Amino acid sequence: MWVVMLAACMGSPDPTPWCSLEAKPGPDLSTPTPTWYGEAGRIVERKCSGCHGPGGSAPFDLVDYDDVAIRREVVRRAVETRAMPPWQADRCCNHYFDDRSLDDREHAALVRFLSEGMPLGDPATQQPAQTQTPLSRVDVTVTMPEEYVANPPAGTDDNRCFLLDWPMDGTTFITGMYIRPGIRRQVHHVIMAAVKPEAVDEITKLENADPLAGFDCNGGFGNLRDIVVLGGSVQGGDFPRGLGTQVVKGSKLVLNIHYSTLGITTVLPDRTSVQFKVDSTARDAQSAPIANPAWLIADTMKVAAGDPDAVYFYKYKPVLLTGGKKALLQGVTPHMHTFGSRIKVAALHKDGTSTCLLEIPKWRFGWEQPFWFADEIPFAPDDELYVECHFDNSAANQPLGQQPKDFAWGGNGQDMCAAFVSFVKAEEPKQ
Amino acid sequence: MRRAPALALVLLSSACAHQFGGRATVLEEGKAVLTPSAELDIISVRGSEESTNIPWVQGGMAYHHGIGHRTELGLRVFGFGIPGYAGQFGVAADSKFQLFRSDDREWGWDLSVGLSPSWHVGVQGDQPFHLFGFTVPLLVGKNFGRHQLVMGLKVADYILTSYGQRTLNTVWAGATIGFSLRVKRIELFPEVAFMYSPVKFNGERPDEKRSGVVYVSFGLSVPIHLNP
Repeated sequence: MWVVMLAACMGSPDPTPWCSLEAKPGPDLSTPTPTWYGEAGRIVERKCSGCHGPGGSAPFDLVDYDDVAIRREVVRRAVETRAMPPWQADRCCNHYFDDRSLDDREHAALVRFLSEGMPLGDPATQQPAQTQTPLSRVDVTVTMPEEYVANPPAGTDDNRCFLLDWPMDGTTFITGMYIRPGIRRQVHHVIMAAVKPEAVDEITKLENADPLAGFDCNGGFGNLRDIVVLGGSVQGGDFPRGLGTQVVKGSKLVLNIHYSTLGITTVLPDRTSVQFKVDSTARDAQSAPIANPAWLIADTMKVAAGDPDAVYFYKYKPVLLTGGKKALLQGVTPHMHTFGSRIKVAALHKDGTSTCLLEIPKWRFGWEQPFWFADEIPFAPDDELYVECHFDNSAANQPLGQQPKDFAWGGNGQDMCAAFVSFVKAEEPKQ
Repeated sequence: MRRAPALALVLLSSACAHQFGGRATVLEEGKAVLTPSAELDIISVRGSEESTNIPWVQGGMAYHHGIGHRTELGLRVFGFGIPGYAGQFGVAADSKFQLFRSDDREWGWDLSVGLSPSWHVGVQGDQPFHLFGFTVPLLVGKNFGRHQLVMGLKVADYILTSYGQRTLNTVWAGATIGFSLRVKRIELFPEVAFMYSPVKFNGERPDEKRSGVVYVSFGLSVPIHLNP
């Protein structure tokens, strides 16, 4: 009885259903097949060519009709399963700034185009191109100090971190960033963070202890202390709404590159650069972590071997960070490792309702990134932040050749459940 | 993520919260003592590279009553916090049994054993973390007239539970030393407690393993004898 009572203290997850798990309507087959010069070409240009084009990070181009035709089946499969474009957040939950994903209509149109003969259509009906959001100004460019040859510990994925100098004096705000991969075909994606001065020595030790350039980062940023995630993924641009991340004198940067050697016979040395837009003032976005601190103790976040859907969840009022005042939520960065299968982040309101901040119905560690909200979201002093993580520790979701084993919170071979919500304090109306 | 281990430390260390065990001499039948106290606590997680140390303070109030000639019962409350932000509060039911009392009341040795079931809650951002447990102190007292040097051995078992976590059982062992200076109906009782738990603490980096938690408490209590 005692044990049952204690177990009941764990509570249950937020009962709000996951919208991303609800069945979606199928494509409307009554309309003509979309054409390249019609809708399909415009979608490819807007959602694919930014990375799969000149200066982009993707390993091959998808710019013109022939580029797509050569890889038609590969592209169709990637689009149909929503593996591409790489954007894990489901649109049913919230709207995001610079969203690269396909909405249901675009998804259906592109799948039909690729499945139904890729009709060219009439060039006269070609729809006007829409340009990507570029970095409006380049103030600082930071480059890896030395080349690195991707060296995956197992399989074809190598997550590597590099400590880079921040050349600006005084306190500045990074207000935009853009990734310039050295070897496009190998740089899968990138996440960038600023390291506070007090943590520089600790990360320098990590780098010095590793004989190769950089240091192993297969646990992602969740293993590093006193860092502020700036952004990342595969491209970049100006941050929305005049937001910036404060970088003080003495800070450094950590460049986390996910290298993929899939399909590559000769791995080339990479030297990636990152361009920054820097301003002296900006709206300072702070970060509120969501994770149960007790998970750091022993097996309080244990996932048993063979469990295909272990769930952990946590909620709290971030009053120590917001000062118990109104805030405006700006974005969210989820964090799990390779056992994570899906994650949800929400703001829970006092009246029992909730605002969905993020739902990722199919987590891929390789595409971890921050998501800025399309519009800032009001957060009341009584609201709570909530995270819910699902883990798949079944035999089907193990590293190559390994059997399932118990794990808890931790680095390699274990996992984490966390989200970092960026916010600014709402300005109080003047009396 | 440095805030998270800090909070976890406080939660864990709170299991040892409020070390006051009193004298090794059980109160005589019908006698009662009211004890306000304050303590400075330091918790330290032992790491492979460095330790993480967190200090905090808390206050307490206890009432103990002599039952029969060998038994004492009592109640303690303790805590510290900032309403709406973070805090912790606990309550313990104390019992103490006299195993041995010297015939030489002024210069002899006394021995007693206690049992204190407790419930303790830490709150962070309105989210409670509950600790249920038992503490068993074995107290040895050397009398110096009306005063007493008190040395103790202590074992404790606590269960930590909160929203969204598996329950965690932690075992603690340690020692205390204090001196009770009796002045009329009031005692001044400084006390130092040292406790250790071998609980595993997950590292934040793959190469960082933490194991074992040390807890040190510096307390000052002021037992007031209500009917000397």
